[in-house]
Amino acid sequence: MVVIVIAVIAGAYVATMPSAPPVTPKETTLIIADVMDITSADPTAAFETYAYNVVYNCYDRLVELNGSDFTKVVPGLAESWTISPDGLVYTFHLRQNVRFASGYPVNASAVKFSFDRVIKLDLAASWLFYEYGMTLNSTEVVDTYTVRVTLDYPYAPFLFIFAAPVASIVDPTVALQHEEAGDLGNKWLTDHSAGSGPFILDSWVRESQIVLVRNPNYWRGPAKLERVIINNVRESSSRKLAIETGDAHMTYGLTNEQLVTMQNNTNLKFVRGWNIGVEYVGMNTKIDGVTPTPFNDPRVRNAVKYAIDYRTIVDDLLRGNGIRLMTPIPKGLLGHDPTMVIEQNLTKSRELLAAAGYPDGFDTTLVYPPGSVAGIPWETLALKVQEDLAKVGIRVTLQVMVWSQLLNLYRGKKLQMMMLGWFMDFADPDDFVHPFGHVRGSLAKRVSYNNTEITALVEQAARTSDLAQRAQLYQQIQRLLLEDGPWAILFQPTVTIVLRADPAKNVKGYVYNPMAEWYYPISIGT
Amino acid sequence: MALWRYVYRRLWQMAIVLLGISIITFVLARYVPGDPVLTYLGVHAREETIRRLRDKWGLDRPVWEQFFIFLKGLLQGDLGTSISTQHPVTSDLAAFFPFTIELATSSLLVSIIVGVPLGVISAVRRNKTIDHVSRIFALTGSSMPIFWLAIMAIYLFYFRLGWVPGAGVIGSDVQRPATITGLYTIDSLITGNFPAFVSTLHHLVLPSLVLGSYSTAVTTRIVRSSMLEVLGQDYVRTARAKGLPERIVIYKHALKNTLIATVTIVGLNYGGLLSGAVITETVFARPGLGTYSIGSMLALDYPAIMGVTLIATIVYAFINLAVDLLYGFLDPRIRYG
Repeated sequence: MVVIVIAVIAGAYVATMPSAPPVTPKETTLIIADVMDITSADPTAAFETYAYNVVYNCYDRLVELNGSDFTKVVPGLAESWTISPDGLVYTFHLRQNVRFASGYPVNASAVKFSFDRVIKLDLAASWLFYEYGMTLNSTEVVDTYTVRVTLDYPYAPFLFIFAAPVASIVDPTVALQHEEAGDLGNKWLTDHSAGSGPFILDSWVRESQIVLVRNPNYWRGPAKLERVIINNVRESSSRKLAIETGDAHMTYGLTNEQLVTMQNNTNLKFVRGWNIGVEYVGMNTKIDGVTPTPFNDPRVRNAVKYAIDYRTIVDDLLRGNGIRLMTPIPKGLLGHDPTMVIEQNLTKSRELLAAAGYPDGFDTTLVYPPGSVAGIPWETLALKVQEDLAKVGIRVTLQVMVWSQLLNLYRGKKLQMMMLGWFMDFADPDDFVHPFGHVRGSLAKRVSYNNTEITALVEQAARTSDLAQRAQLYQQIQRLLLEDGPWAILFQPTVTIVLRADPAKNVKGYVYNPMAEWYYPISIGT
Repeated sequence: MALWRYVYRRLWQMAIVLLGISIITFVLARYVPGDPVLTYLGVHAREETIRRLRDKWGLDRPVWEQFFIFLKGLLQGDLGTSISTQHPVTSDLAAFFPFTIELATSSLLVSIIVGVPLGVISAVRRNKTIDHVSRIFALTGSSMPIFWLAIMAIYLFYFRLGWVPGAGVIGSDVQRPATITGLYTIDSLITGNFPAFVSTLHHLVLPSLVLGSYSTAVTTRIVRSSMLEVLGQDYVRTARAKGLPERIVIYKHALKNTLIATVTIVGLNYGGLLSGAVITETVFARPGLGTYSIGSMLALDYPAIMGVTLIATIVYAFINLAVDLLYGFLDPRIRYG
C-alpha cells in the first residue's frame, strides 16, 4: 500500500515537472539576492543595514542624503529649513499636499508624532535621539506645515540625524490603528510599513523573502519598478550562481575569490562602493576599568600600530577591497585625511616595547567575531595580526566569539584586544570621533580610554557649525588618536555590488548609497 | 486495551522527558556567557534601555522564577515572545516548521524509495556487481560532506544543466499560496494555486536529494544487512523448499521480517531530518527550523531556544512512539504492557 502511495506521489510529481514555468522575472520586478538579517522594519527599532534598506524606501525623512555625497543633506519632506544662530532651534517647512501611502496627509503633527514615538518607544535606534538631547518637549507643531525642533545644546551634526532612518516620518493614523498595549503600532510595523516613501512593504516571509511594492501615490511620481524582491540567500556561492544565471538582478557580499572569477562575464557589471565604516583592533587599557594592561602605556599601543603590515592587508588579503585608513574618519565624510597613515616599522615597534619595559614582548588575547569582512574571513585578518605582532614578541592567542558573548564582554571591559568594525549611524564625522575618542564614547569607554584633550576637541567640533573650522578640528583629533589612541585602525572596507548588464535584465539607474539602498531611480532594461 | 494503557503511559513518560529537557536547556542557556538584550540593542545601548528591556522580558529575575513563568506560559500554550523576531515563538515555529516538514518528508521519501529497494537487491544479489555498486553508493552517501554535495548539486543541476531551480522555496515570479497549514505544497493545492504547487515541488527536488543522500545510504545498508540475516533463516529455506516463486519468498517472507529494522532506521532518520538541516537550508536558501534554531542560539534568544528544543524533543518522542506502535503491527508477537 505504502509503495503504491509513494509511487503515485512520485508519478504525480514527475508528471508535473516538464510543465514547471521557467523562473523569469518580470521586467518591472527587481530581484535581489542578499543576506537578510532583519529584526524589524519599524524605523525606531531598525538598526542594521538590511533593515535600513526597507525603511529607507518605505518612508521619507525631512531631509535626505544624496547618493554617496555625504557632505550635505538635500530637501526631503521639508522643502526648506532654518537653523537659529545659536544652533539650538531647527524650523522645517514641509511640502504641502504630500500624502502617506494610506492617503492620509503628511503634516507637522505627523512629524511630531514620529519623533515623539522614537523617544517614547526607546528601542534599538532611539539612542540617536536621546544621546543628542531630543526629548518629548523638543518637537513643536507651529502650524500645519511648519515644525520646530529645539535641542538642549547645540549639536552641529543634528541635521544628518534627521536624514537617518530613525527620523523617518510614520503615518500616525495607520500606526495608531494597529496599536497594541500602548506600543504605538510597533508590533505591527515590525513587518508592515506606514510611510510616504516610493515603496510599501508588501510581505515578509522571515528568513526567506521581502517584497516591496510600488506606492502609486508617491509624491515624486511612482517608481519605475513595480516590485522589489529581496531573497535571503545566505550562502555566497548560491548568490553567485543566482546572479550568473540571471535569477537575480543584483547581489552583494561575494568573496574576493568569487569576484575575481566573474570579472570577464559580460552579462555582469560591478559597482565598487565604500562602506562608511572602519575595521579596527582595539586595545583595552584597563581590564574591568581597573587593572592596567600593557596597553595602558601609549608606547605599547604605538608598538602594536607599528608592528602591523597594513599594506599587505589591503593589497594582498583584501585584493583591493579596502581603502587604507588609520584614523577613524572614513572616506566620504568631512575631515577624512588619506595621508594620515603610518607604515609597518618593526624596529621602531621593538624600541617602543623595550622603552615601555617589554623588551621580550608579552602575552595577550585577541577576540574577533565569526563570519567575514570585506570579502575575507575575520579569521584571516586575525591570523595576519597575530603573525605581525609575533615579529615584535607580542604573543597573541586568537579567540573567535559569537556576537552575543563578545558584546557582553566588550561592554564589561573584559577583553584585552578585540577586532571589530564600526559603521556609520548617521553621516557625520562626529559619529566616528565621538565613539573612538570621547571619554564617554561608546567604544572608548569599553577600553577605559580617557584623553581629556581629545574629549574637549570632540565636544568643540560638535558645537562648531563652520565646516572649515570643523574639518580642522577633526584633523587635530585624528592626529592625537593616531599618536595616542588605543586603536590600530586597519582599513575602510569597500563593497562590490554585482548587477546584471545584459539587455534584458540590465539594471539601470543604480546609484550606490552607503547609508542604504535607494531603489526609486532603478529600472530594468536598456 | 493494553495498547491504550501503553500509549497513555508513554505519553506520561514523554511529559517527564520534556520537563527534564526544558530544565536542562533553560538553565544551560542562561549560563552561557552573553546577553540577549545587548545583542538585540547593539553596541550603543543605553543603560536605561537595557534595564527597561531586562525588566520587561523578566531577565532580571532569579532563574528559577523565570523558569516557572516559562512553565506557566507553556501550560497555556504560550512559549513567550522571541527576542530577535519580536513575534510569539509559537507563531515563529508555525511559520518555520512547515518548511522543514516539507523538506524532511520529501528527503525521507527519497530515502525510502531509493534505499529500501536498493538494500533488498543488494542483499539478494550479494557480492554481484549490483551489490558492489550499491555498497559504494551507500558508503559515498554516508561519508560525503553535505555542504560540498549541495554546492556540487546546485552547480551541476541548476547552473550547468538548468534542470532545477537553485535557491529558495518557490519561484520569485510565482504568487505564494495563502497560509492555511503553512505547507506550501498542501496550501497551494487547497487554494487551487497550481503554479505555486509545481514551483514548490520543483524547488524541493535538489535539496531533498541532497539532504536525503545520507538517510538513503543508511537505509540501504540497514535493509541490506537485515535482509541478509533474514535470508539465512530456516523459514526462508522452507518457503523456497515449498517451491514458492523467489519473488514471493523475498517480498512476502523475507522483506516483511526486515521491516522492524527498516522502520527503526526510517523513524530515526525522520527525527534527524525534522530537527534541523541547517546546512541544506543555508545553501538552498530555505527558511526552516535549522536556520531559526541557529539564529536563536547565536542571539541567545532564550524563548526561541526553548521553543526549538521543545519541538525537536516532541518530534523525536512522537516518532519513537509511532515506531514502537508499528512494531506491534508488524510483528504480532510483540505485546504492549
